[in-house]
Amino acid sequence: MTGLSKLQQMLKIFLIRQKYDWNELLQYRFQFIVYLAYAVLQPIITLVFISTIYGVSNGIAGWSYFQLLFLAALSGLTTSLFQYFVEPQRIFNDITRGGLDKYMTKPFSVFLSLLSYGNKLVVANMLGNISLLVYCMLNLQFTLLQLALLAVAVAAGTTAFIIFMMAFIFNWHKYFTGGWWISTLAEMAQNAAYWPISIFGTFGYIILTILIPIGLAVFVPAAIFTGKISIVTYALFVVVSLLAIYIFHGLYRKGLAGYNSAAG
Amino acid sequence: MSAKNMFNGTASLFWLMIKNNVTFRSDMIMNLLTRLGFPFIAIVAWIAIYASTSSSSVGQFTLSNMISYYLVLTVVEIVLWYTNAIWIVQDDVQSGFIVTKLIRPANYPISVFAEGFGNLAFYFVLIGIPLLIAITYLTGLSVSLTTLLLFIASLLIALVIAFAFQFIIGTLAIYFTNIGGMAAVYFTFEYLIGGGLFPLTLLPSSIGSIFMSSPFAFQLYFPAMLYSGGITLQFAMQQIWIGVAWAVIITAVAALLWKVAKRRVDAVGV
Repeated sequence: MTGLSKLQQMLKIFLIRQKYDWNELLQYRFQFIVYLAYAVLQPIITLVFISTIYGVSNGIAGWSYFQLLFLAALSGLTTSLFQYFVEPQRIFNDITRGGLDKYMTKPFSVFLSLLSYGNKLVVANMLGNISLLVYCMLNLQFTLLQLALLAVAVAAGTTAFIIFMMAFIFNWHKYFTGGWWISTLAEMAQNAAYWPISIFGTFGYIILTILIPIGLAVFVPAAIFTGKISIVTYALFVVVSLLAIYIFHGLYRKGLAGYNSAAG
Repeated sequence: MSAKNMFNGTASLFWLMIKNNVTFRSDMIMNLLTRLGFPFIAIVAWIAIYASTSSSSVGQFTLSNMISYYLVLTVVEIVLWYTNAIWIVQDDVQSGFIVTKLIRPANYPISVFAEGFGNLAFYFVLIGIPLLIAITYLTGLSVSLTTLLLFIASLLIALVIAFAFQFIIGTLAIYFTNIGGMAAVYFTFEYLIGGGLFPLTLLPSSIGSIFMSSPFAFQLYFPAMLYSGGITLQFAMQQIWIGVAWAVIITAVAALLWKVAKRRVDAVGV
Protein backbone atom coordinates (compact mmCIF):
# COMPACT_ATOMS: atom_id res chain seq x y z
CA MET A 1 0.00 0.00 0.00
CA THR A 2 1.47 3.38 -0.97
CA GLY A 3 1.78 6.18 1.53
CA LEU A 4 -1.02 8.15 -0.10
CA SER A 5 -3.50 5.30 -0.23
CA LYS A 6 -2.68 4.42 3.38
CA LEU A 7 -3.37 8.02 4.36
CA GLN A 8 -6.65 7.94 2.41
CA GLN A 9 -7.68 4.74 4.15
CA MET A 10 -6.83 6.14 7.58
CA LEU A 11 -8.80 9.29 6.84
CA LYS A 12 -11.75 7.19 5.67
CA ILE A 13 -11.75 5.12 8.87
CA PHE A 14 -11.36 8.28 10.95
CA LEU A 15 -14.41 9.83 9.26
CA ILE A 16 -16.43 6.64 9.76
CA ARG A 17 -15.60 6.78 13.47
CA GLN A 18 -16.69 10.42 13.58
CA LYS A 19 -19.99 9.52 11.91
CA TYR A 20 -20.52 6.70 14.39
CA ASP A 21 -19.81 9.00 17.35
CA TRP A 22 -22.26 11.59 16.04
CA ASN A 23 -24.97 8.99 15.54
CA GLU A 24 -24.42 7.67 19.05
CA LEU A 25 -24.53 11.18 20.44
CA LEU A 26 -27.80 12.02 18.73
CA GLN A 27 -29.45 9.15 20.60
CA TYR A 28 -29.42 11.45 23.65
CA ARG A 29 -31.51 14.15 22.02
CA PHE A 30 -32.44 15.98 25.19
CA GLN A 31 -28.79 16.26 26.22
CA PHE A 32 -27.96 17.50 22.76
CA ILE A 33 -30.45 20.34 23.11
CA VAL A 34 -29.21 21.20 26.62
CA TYR A 35 -25.65 21.29 25.31
CA LEU A 36 -26.68 23.70 22.59
CA ALA A 37 -28.03 26.02 25.30
CA TYR A 38 -24.72 25.67 27.14
CA ALA A 39 -22.85 26.50 23.95
CA VAL A 40 -24.75 29.75 23.66
CA LEU A 41 -23.91 30.55 27.28
CA GLN A 42 -20.15 30.27 26.83
CA PRO A 43 -19.60 33.21 24.44
CA ILE A 44 -22.14 35.24 26.43
CA ILE A 45 -20.02 34.72 29.55
CA THR A 46 -16.91 35.81 27.67
CA LEU A 47 -18.78 38.90 26.49
CA VAL A 48 -20.05 39.71 30.01
CA PHE A 49 -16.61 39.17 31.56
CA ILE A 50 -14.64 41.32 29.14
CA SER A 51 -17.39 43.99 29.10
CA THR A 52 -17.38 44.07 32.91
CA ILE A 53 -13.60 44.49 32.99
CA TYR A 54 -13.70 47.35 30.51
CA GLY A 55 -16.75 48.80 32.29
CA VAL A 56 -14.88 49.22 35.58
CA SER A 57 -11.29 49.71 34.37
CA ASN A 58 -9.14 50.54 31.36
CA GLY A 59 -8.61 46.84 30.67
CA ILE A 60 -5.15 45.59 29.80
CA ALA A 61 -2.59 48.07 28.50
CA GLY A 62 -2.14 47.87 24.74
CA TRP A 63 -5.32 45.86 24.23
CA SER A 64 -8.58 47.51 23.24
CA TYR A 65 -11.96 46.07 24.27
CA PHE A 66 -12.52 44.34 20.92
CA GLN A 67 -8.94 43.06 20.75
CA LEU A 68 -9.18 41.42 24.17
CA LEU A 69 -12.63 40.09 23.35
CA PHE A 70 -11.19 38.65 20.14
CA LEU A 71 -8.38 36.97 22.07
CA ALA A 72 -10.83 35.51 24.61
CA ALA A 73 -13.14 34.22 21.85
CA LEU A 74 -10.18 32.71 19.99
CA SER A 75 -9.16 31.02 23.24
CA GLY A 76 -12.69 29.60 23.47
CA LEU A 77 -12.53 28.39 19.88
CA THR A 78 -9.18 26.61 20.20
CA THR A 79 -10.28 25.14 23.53
CA SER A 80 -13.33 23.68 21.73
CA LEU A 81 -11.13 22.40 18.90
CA PHE A 82 -8.90 20.66 21.45
CA GLN A 83 -11.89 19.20 23.31
CA TYR A 84 -13.39 17.94 20.05
CA PHE A 85 -10.39 15.68 19.52
CA VAL A 86 -8.89 15.01 22.93
CA GLU A 87 -10.37 13.86 26.21
CA PRO A 88 -7.39 13.39 28.56
CA GLN A 89 -9.43 11.61 31.23
CA ARG A 90 -10.70 8.96 28.82
CA ILE A 91 -7.24 8.32 27.38
CA PHE A 92 -5.85 8.05 30.91
CA ASN A 93 -8.59 5.55 31.83
CA ASP A 94 -7.73 3.44 28.78
CA ILE A 95 -4.01 3.49 29.55
CA THR A 96 -4.53 2.40 33.15
CA ARG A 97 -7.11 -0.28 32.34
CA GLY A 98 -5.43 -1.77 29.29
CA GLY A 99 -8.08 -0.26 27.06
CA LEU A 100 -5.61 0.51 24.26
CA ASP A 101 -5.14 -3.19 23.50
CA LYS A 102 -8.02 -3.12 21.05
CA TYR A 103 -6.27 -0.44 18.98
CA MET A 104 -2.82 -2.02 19.11
CA THR A 105 -4.00 -5.09 17.23
CA LYS A 106 -5.55 -3.13 14.36
CA PRO A 107 -3.73 -1.90 11.23
CA PHE A 108 -4.79 1.64 12.06
CA SER A 109 -3.10 4.56 13.79
CA VAL A 110 -3.62 4.52 17.59
CA PHE A 111 -3.20 8.28 17.52
CA LEU A 112 -6.16 8.75 15.17
CA SER A 113 -8.24 6.33 17.24
CA LEU A 114 -7.56 8.42 20.33
CA LEU A 115 -8.51 11.58 18.45
CA SER A 116 -12.04 10.26 18.19
CA TYR A 117 -12.38 10.31 22.00
CA GLY A 118 -13.15 14.01 22.27
CA ASN A 119 -16.47 15.63 23.04
CA LYS A 120 -18.40 16.10 19.78
CA LEU A 121 -20.90 18.48 21.37
CA VAL A 122 -18.30 21.24 21.60
CA VAL A 123 -19.05 21.96 17.94
CA ALA A 124 -21.84 24.13 19.34
CA ASN A 125 -19.24 26.03 21.43
CA MET A 126 -17.14 26.49 18.31
CA LEU A 127 -20.08 28.06 16.51
CA GLY A 128 -20.76 30.35 19.46
CA ASN A 129 -17.14 31.47 19.63
CA ILE A 130 -16.97 31.94 15.85
CA SER A 131 -20.01 34.25 16.11
CA LEU A 132 -18.17 36.25 18.77
CA LEU A 133 -15.04 36.37 16.62
CA VAL A 134 -17.06 37.65 13.66
CA TYR A 135 -18.62 40.32 15.91
CA CYS A 136 -15.12 41.44 16.94
CA MET A 137 -13.86 41.36 13.35
CA LEU A 138 -16.64 43.73 12.34
CA ASN A 139 -15.22 46.16 14.87
CA LEU A 140 -11.53 45.64 14.14
CA GLN A 141 -9.47 46.64 11.16
CA PHE A 142 -7.58 43.85 9.45
CA THR A 143 -6.32 42.71 6.07
CA LEU A 144 -7.02 39.43 4.28
CA LEU A 145 -3.36 38.54 4.72
CA GLN A 146 -3.73 38.89 8.50
CA LEU A 147 -6.79 36.64 8.36
CA ALA A 148 -4.87 34.01 6.39
CA LEU A 149 -1.92 34.21 8.80
CA LEU A 150 -4.35 33.82 11.70
CA ALA A 151 -5.79 30.62 10.21
CA VAL A 152 -2.35 29.12 9.61
CA ALA A 153 -1.16 29.93 13.14
CA VAL A 154 -4.35 28.54 14.74
CA ALA A 155 -4.00 25.29 12.77
CA ALA A 156 -0.30 24.86 13.53
CA GLY A 157 -0.58 25.94 17.17
CA THR A 158 -3.65 23.83 17.95
CA THR A 159 -2.03 20.78 16.37
CA ALA A 160 1.09 21.37 18.48
CA PHE A 161 -1.02 21.68 21.64
CA ILE A 162 -3.02 18.52 20.88
CA ILE A 163 0.12 16.46 20.23
CA PHE A 164 1.78 17.94 23.31
CA MET A 165 -1.12 16.79 25.50
CA MET A 166 -1.04 13.30 23.99
CA ALA A 167 2.73 13.07 24.56
CA PHE A 168 2.36 14.37 28.10
CA ILE A 169 -0.38 11.91 29.06
CA PHE A 170 1.58 8.87 27.85
CA ASN A 171 4.94 9.94 29.20
CA TRP A 172 3.63 10.99 32.58
CA HIS A 173 2.01 7.59 32.99
CA LYS A 174 5.15 5.86 31.77
CA TYR A 175 7.37 7.55 34.37
CA PHE A 176 5.03 8.34 37.26
CA THR A 177 2.13 5.86 36.92
CA GLY A 178 -0.86 8.14 37.04
CA GLY A 179 -2.05 11.28 35.34
CA TRP A 180 -5.72 11.80 36.15
CA TRP A 181 -4.87 15.43 36.94
CA ILE A 182 -3.75 16.14 33.35
CA SER A 183 -7.22 17.27 32.26
CA THR A 184 -6.87 20.01 34.91
CA LEU A 185 -3.52 20.99 33.37
CA ALA A 186 -5.23 21.34 29.97
CA GLU A 187 -7.95 23.48 31.54
CA MET A 188 -5.38 25.64 33.30
CA ALA A 189 -3.39 26.21 30.10
CA GLN A 190 -6.59 27.16 28.29
CA ASN A 191 -7.48 29.48 31.16
CA ALA A 192 -4.11 31.23 30.81
CA ALA A 193 -4.62 31.58 27.05
CA TYR A 194 -7.67 33.73 27.73
CA TRP A 195 -5.24 36.59 28.47
CA PRO A 196 -2.34 38.10 26.52
CA ILE A 197 0.48 35.81 27.64
CA SER A 198 2.81 38.80 27.82
CA ILE A 199 1.23 39.61 31.21
CA PHE A 200 2.86 36.49 32.68
CA GLY A 201 6.36 37.91 32.12
CA THR A 202 9.23 36.40 30.12
CA PHE A 203 9.19 33.15 32.10
CA GLY A 204 5.46 32.68 31.61
CA TYR A 205 5.80 33.63 27.94
CA ILE A 206 8.37 30.88 27.38
CA ILE A 207 6.38 28.28 29.34
CA LEU A 208 3.16 29.06 27.48
CA THR A 209 4.71 28.97 24.02
CA ILE A 210 7.48 26.39 24.10
CA LEU A 211 6.83 24.10 27.06
CA ILE A 212 3.01 24.09 26.88
CA PRO A 213 2.28 25.38 23.37
CA ILE A 214 -1.14 26.89 24.08
CA GLY A 215 0.23 30.37 23.37
CA LEU A 216 1.10 29.25 19.83
CA ALA A 217 -2.55 28.30 19.30
CA VAL A 218 -4.15 31.44 20.74
CA PHE A 219 -1.87 34.37 21.53
CA VAL A 220 0.33 34.24 18.40
CA PRO A 221 -2.65 34.14 15.95
CA ALA A 222 -4.44 36.91 17.87
CA ALA A 223 -1.26 38.98 18.05
CA ILE A 224 -0.59 38.83 14.28
CA PHE A 225 -4.25 39.54 13.55
CA THR A 226 -4.29 42.63 15.76
CA GLY A 227 -0.86 43.77 14.56
CA LYS A 228 0.94 43.25 17.89
CA ILE A 229 3.79 41.18 16.50
CA SER A 230 5.82 41.60 13.31
CA ILE A 231 5.68 39.18 10.40
CA VAL A 232 9.21 38.00 11.28
CA THR A 233 8.23 37.15 14.85
CA TYR A 234 5.13 35.45 13.49
CA ALA A 235 7.17 33.34 11.07
CA LEU A 236 9.49 32.37 13.92
CA PHE A 237 6.54 31.23 16.02
CA VAL A 238 5.09 29.18 13.14
CA VAL A 239 8.46 27.45 12.78
CA VAL A 240 8.41 26.84 16.56
CA SER A 241 4.91 25.32 16.16
CA LEU A 242 6.11 22.96 13.42
CA LEU A 243 9.15 21.98 15.48
CA ALA A 244 6.91 21.41 18.49
CA ILE A 245 4.67 19.12 16.42
CA TYR A 246 7.71 17.10 15.33
CA ILE A 247 9.28 16.87 18.80
CA PHE A 248 6.06 16.15 20.69
CA HIS A 249 5.05 13.51 18.16
CA GLY A 250 8.36 11.77 18.77
CA LEU A 251 7.77 11.97 22.51
CA TYR A 252 4.25 10.63 22.05
CA ARG A 253 5.62 7.59 20.19
CA LYS A 254 8.14 6.99 22.97
CA GLY A 255 5.40 7.24 25.56
CA LEU A 256 3.16 4.89 23.61
CA ALA A 257 6.01 2.38 23.39
CA GLY A 258 5.99 2.31 27.20
CA TYR A 259 2.35 1.22 27.31
CA ASN A 260 1.77 -2.15 28.94
CA SER A 261 -1.26 -4.01 27.72
CA ALA A 262 -3.69 -5.62 30.16
CA ALA A 263 -2.17 -8.97 29.28
CA GLY A 264 1.41 -7.71 29.39
CA MET B 1 -30.63 -0.84 59.16
CA SER B 2 -29.17 0.37 62.45
CA ALA B 3 -27.65 3.80 62.80
CA LYS B 4 -24.35 2.17 63.80
CA ASN B 5 -24.19 0.09 60.59
CA MET B 6 -25.04 3.11 58.51
CA PHE B 7 -22.32 5.15 60.20
CA ASN B 8 -19.71 2.39 59.76
CA GLY B 9 -20.54 2.01 56.07
CA THR B 10 -20.36 5.73 55.45
CA ALA B 11 -17.14 6.11 57.45
CA SER B 12 -15.53 3.28 55.44
CA LEU B 13 -16.30 5.09 52.19
CA PHE B 14 -14.83 8.29 53.61
CA TRP B 15 -11.54 6.55 54.55
CA LEU B 16 -11.43 4.70 51.22
CA MET B 17 -11.44 8.00 49.33
CA ILE B 18 -8.67 9.36 51.54
CA LYS B 19 -6.55 6.21 50.97
CA ASN B 20 -7.15 6.50 47.22
CA ASN B 21 -5.72 10.00 47.25
CA VAL B 22 -2.67 9.06 49.29
CA THR B 23 -1.84 6.09 47.01
CA PHE B 24 -1.22 8.23 43.90
CA ARG B 25 1.08 10.80 45.48
CA SER B 26 2.53 12.32 42.31
CA ASP B 27 -0.99 12.80 40.94
CA MET B 28 -2.10 14.34 44.19
CA ILE B 29 0.77 16.86 44.24
CA MET B 30 0.34 17.79 40.58
CA ASN B 31 -3.40 18.14 41.05
CA LEU B 32 -2.79 20.58 43.90
CA LEU B 33 -0.30 22.60 41.87
CA THR B 34 -2.54 22.84 38.80
CA ARG B 35 -5.54 23.77 40.94
CA LEU B 36 -3.52 26.59 42.48
CA GLY B 37 -2.67 27.74 38.96
CA PHE B 38 -6.21 29.04 38.41
CA PRO B 39 -6.18 31.78 41.09
CA PHE B 40 -2.60 32.60 40.07
CA ILE B 41 -3.75 33.29 36.50
CA ALA B 42 -6.68 35.42 37.70
CA ILE B 43 -4.45 37.40 40.05
CA VAL B 44 -1.80 38.08 37.37
CA ALA B 45 -4.57 39.24 35.01
CA TRP B 46 -5.99 41.61 37.62
CA ILE B 47 -2.50 42.95 38.41
CA ALA B 48 -2.20 43.80 34.69
CA ILE B 49 -5.65 45.44 34.75
CA TYR B 50 -4.82 47.54 37.83
CA ALA B 51 -1.48 48.53 36.27
CA SER B 52 -3.24 50.09 33.30
CA THR B 53 -5.94 51.80 35.37
CA SER B 54 -5.25 55.26 36.75
CA SER B 55 -7.34 54.75 39.91
CA SER B 56 -6.07 52.60 42.78
CA SER B 57 -9.38 50.77 42.99
CA VAL B 58 -11.62 48.94 40.56
CA GLY B 59 -15.23 49.00 41.70
CA GLN B 60 -14.89 48.96 45.50
CA PHE B 61 -11.80 46.75 45.34
CA THR B 62 -8.19 47.72 45.80
CA LEU B 63 -5.67 45.33 44.25
CA SER B 64 -5.02 43.87 47.69
CA ASN B 65 -8.79 43.25 48.20
CA MET B 66 -8.99 41.61 44.78
CA ILE B 67 -6.05 39.29 45.48
CA SER B 68 -7.54 38.33 48.86
CA TYR B 69 -10.89 37.63 47.17
CA TYR B 70 -9.42 35.23 44.59
CA LEU B 71 -7.23 33.47 47.16
CA VAL B 72 -10.10 32.93 49.60
CA LEU B 73 -12.23 31.87 46.64
CA THR B 74 -9.71 29.07 45.99
CA VAL B 75 -10.22 27.77 49.51
CA VAL B 76 -14.00 27.93 49.09
CA GLU B 77 -13.81 26.21 45.71
CA ILE B 78 -12.21 23.16 47.30
CA VAL B 79 -15.60 22.52 48.87
CA LEU B 80 -17.17 22.56 45.40
CA TRP B 81 -14.42 20.81 43.40
CA TYR B 82 -14.63 17.59 45.33
CA THR B 83 -18.34 17.29 45.99
CA ASN B 84 -18.64 15.23 42.80
CA ALA B 85 -22.22 14.01 43.43
CA ILE B 86 -23.25 14.53 39.78
CA TRP B 87 -20.64 12.17 38.39
CA ILE B 88 -20.94 9.61 41.17
CA VAL B 89 -24.70 9.24 40.62
CA GLN B 90 -24.42 9.31 36.81
CA ASP B 91 -21.72 6.61 36.86
CA ASP B 92 -23.81 4.50 39.23
CA VAL B 93 -26.86 4.81 36.97
CA GLN B 94 -25.02 4.18 33.71
CA SER B 95 -23.11 1.18 35.05
CA GLY B 96 -26.14 -0.21 36.90
CA PHE B 97 -24.06 -0.21 40.07
CA ILE B 98 -26.73 1.91 41.74
CA VAL B 99 -28.78 -1.26 42.32
CA THR B 100 -25.95 -2.85 44.28
CA LYS B 101 -25.51 0.33 46.29
CA LEU B 102 -29.22 0.55 47.07
CA ILE B 103 -29.27 -2.87 48.71
CA ARG B 104 -26.27 -2.05 50.90
CA PRO B 105 -26.92 -1.19 54.55
CA ALA B 106 -26.29 2.49 53.85
CA ASN B 107 -28.46 5.39 52.87
CA TYR B 108 -27.61 6.09 49.18
CA PRO B 109 -27.60 9.94 49.24
CA ILE B 110 -25.48 9.88 52.40
CA SER B 111 -23.03 7.39 50.88
CA VAL B 112 -22.71 9.62 47.79
CA PHE B 113 -22.04 12.52 50.14
CA ALA B 114 -19.44 10.47 52.07
CA GLU B 115 -17.65 9.48 48.86
CA GLY B 116 -17.23 13.11 47.83
CA PHE B 117 -16.61 14.27 51.39
CA GLY B 118 -13.59 11.96 51.74
CA ASN B 119 -11.90 13.80 48.87
CA LEU B 120 -13.10 17.16 50.04
CA ALA B 121 -11.91 16.72 53.65
CA PHE B 122 -8.54 15.44 52.47
CA TYR B 123 -7.87 18.44 50.22
CA PHE B 124 -9.37 20.92 52.63
CA VAL B 125 -7.04 19.81 55.41
CA LEU B 126 -4.06 19.50 53.07
CA ILE B 127 -4.40 22.79 51.19
CA GLY B 128 -7.51 24.64 52.32
CA ILE B 129 -6.48 25.29 55.92
CA PRO B 130 -2.76 26.01 55.25
CA LEU B 131 -3.74 28.30 52.38
CA LEU B 132 -6.26 30.11 54.53
CA ILE B 133 -3.62 30.67 57.24
CA ALA B 134 -1.11 31.87 54.61
CA ILE B 135 -3.65 34.24 53.04
CA THR B 136 -4.55 35.71 56.43
CA TYR B 137 -0.89 36.21 57.31
CA LEU B 138 0.39 37.46 53.94
CA THR B 139 -2.45 39.83 53.05
CA GLY B 140 -2.80 41.12 56.61
CA LEU B 141 -6.49 40.30 56.87
CA SER B 142 -7.85 40.94 60.36
CA VAL B 143 -10.12 37.99 61.02
CA SER B 144 -12.11 38.08 64.27
CA LEU B 145 -13.47 34.96 65.94
CA THR B 146 -16.98 35.95 64.82
CA THR B 147 -15.80 36.25 61.21
CA LEU B 148 -14.12 32.85 61.44
CA LEU B 149 -17.25 31.21 62.86
CA LEU B 150 -19.46 32.85 60.24
CA PHE B 151 -17.01 31.75 57.54
CA ILE B 152 -17.16 28.13 58.74
CA ALA B 153 -20.96 28.36 58.77
CA SER B 154 -20.94 29.82 55.25
CA LEU B 155 -18.70 26.97 54.03
CA LEU B 156 -21.13 24.43 55.47
CA ILE B 157 -24.01 26.21 53.72
CA ALA B 158 -22.00 26.22 50.45
CA LEU B 159 -21.33 22.51 50.86
CA VAL B 160 -24.97 21.65 51.50
CA ILE B 161 -26.22 23.78 48.57
CA ALA B 162 -23.54 22.39 46.21
CA PHE B 163 -24.23 18.80 47.20
CA ALA B 164 -28.02 19.20 46.98
CA PHE B 165 -27.81 20.86 43.56
CA GLN B 166 -25.43 18.20 42.29
CA PHE B 167 -27.53 15.40 43.72
CA ILE B 168 -30.62 16.81 41.97
CA ILE B 169 -28.80 16.84 38.61
CA GLY B 170 -27.25 13.43 39.31
CA THR B 171 -30.68 11.97 40.11
CA LEU B 172 -31.93 13.18 36.73
CA ALA B 173 -29.59 10.57 35.21
CA ILE B 174 -32.24 8.03 36.22
CA TYR B 175 -34.54 9.69 33.68
CA PHE B 176 -32.08 10.88 31.02
CA THR B 177 -29.10 8.50 31.48
CA ASN B 178 -26.64 11.12 30.24
CA ILE B 179 -26.65 14.42 32.13
CA GLY B 180 -23.39 15.92 30.87
CA GLY B 181 -25.16 18.86 29.27
CA MET B 182 -27.14 19.74 32.35
CA ALA B 183 -24.01 19.46 34.48
CA ALA B 184 -22.16 21.84 32.14
CA VAL B 185 -24.98 24.39 32.36
CA TYR B 186 -25.08 24.05 36.17
CA PHE B 187 -21.31 24.53 36.57
CA THR B 188 -21.43 27.56 34.29
CA PHE B 189 -24.15 29.18 36.39
CA GLU B 190 -22.37 28.27 39.60
CA TYR B 191 -19.17 29.89 38.33
CA LEU B 192 -20.65 33.03 36.77
CA ILE B 193 -23.59 33.82 39.06
CA GLY B 194 -21.70 32.49 42.07
CA GLY B 195 -18.91 35.03 41.63
CA GLY B 196 -16.20 32.60 40.53
CA LEU B 197 -15.27 34.67 37.50
CA PHE B 198 -15.16 38.03 39.30
CA PRO B 199 -16.69 39.64 42.40
CA LEU B 200 -20.40 40.25 41.78
CA THR B 201 -20.16 43.84 43.00
CA LEU B 202 -18.38 44.69 39.74
CA LEU B 203 -21.63 44.07 37.86
CA PRO B 204 -24.22 46.83 37.40
CA SER B 205 -26.15 46.95 40.70
CA SER B 206 -29.47 45.81 39.17
CA ILE B 207 -27.95 42.54 37.87
CA GLY B 208 -25.49 42.18 40.74
CA SER B 209 -28.18 42.29 43.44
CA ILE B 210 -30.19 39.55 41.68
CA PHE B 211 -27.11 37.35 41.41
CA MET B 212 -26.16 38.01 45.05
CA SER B 213 -29.55 36.75 46.28
CA SER B 214 -29.31 33.55 44.26
CA PRO B 215 -28.22 30.25 45.87
CA PHE B 216 -25.13 30.22 43.61
CA ALA B 217 -23.77 33.31 45.38
CA PHE B 218 -23.81 31.42 48.69
CA GLN B 219 -21.56 28.79 47.17
CA LEU B 220 -18.68 31.10 46.26
CA TYR B 221 -19.19 34.85 46.49
CA PHE B 222 -20.60 35.13 50.02
CA PRO B 223 -17.97 33.02 51.85
CA ALA B 224 -15.13 34.62 49.85
CA MET B 225 -16.36 38.17 50.51
CA LEU B 226 -16.98 37.38 54.16
CA TYR B 227 -13.46 36.14 54.90
CA SER B 228 -11.68 38.69 52.70
CA GLY B 229 -13.46 41.52 54.51
CA GLY B 230 -15.55 42.68 51.56
CA ILE B 231 -18.78 42.77 53.60
CA THR B 232 -19.55 43.93 57.12
CA LEU B 233 -20.29 41.43 59.88
CA GLN B 234 -23.73 42.93 60.39
CA PHE B 235 -24.59 42.39 56.72
CA ALA B 236 -23.09 38.88 56.83
CA MET B 237 -25.27 37.95 59.80
CA GLN B 238 -28.37 39.05 57.88
CA GLN B 239 -27.34 37.28 54.70
CA ILE B 240 -26.39 33.98 56.28
CA TRP B 241 -30.05 33.26 57.05
CA ILE B 242 -30.89 33.63 53.37
CA GLY B 243 -28.17 31.06 52.70
CA VAL B 244 -29.65 28.72 55.30
CA ALA B 245 -33.08 29.11 53.70
CA TRP B 246 -31.66 28.25 50.26
CA ALA B 247 -29.85 25.21 51.71
CA VAL B 248 -33.08 23.94 53.28
CA ILE B 249 -35.17 24.53 50.14
CA ILE B 250 -32.71 22.89 47.74
CA THR B 251 -32.11 19.94 50.06
CA ALA B 252 -35.88 19.43 50.33
CA VAL B 253 -36.19 19.46 46.53
CA ALA B 254 -33.32 16.96 46.26
CA ALA B 255 -34.91 14.65 48.85
CA LEU B 256 -38.29 14.83 47.14
CA LEU B 257 -36.85 14.15 43.70
CA TRP B 258 -34.82 11.21 45.01
CA LYS B 259 -37.91 9.76 46.68
CA VAL B 260 -39.78 9.81 43.38
CA ALA B 261 -36.87 8.88 41.10
CA LYS B 262 -35.53 5.89 43.03
CA ARG B 263 -38.74 3.99 42.27
CA ARG B 264 -37.69 4.00 38.63
CA VAL B 265 -34.33 2.39 39.33
CA ASP B 266 -34.30 -1.02 37.73
CA ALA B 267 -31.73 -3.56 36.56
CA VAL B 268 -31.53 -7.04 35.11
CA GLY B 269 -31.82 -9.69 37.78
CA VAL B 270 -33.42 -7.41 40.36
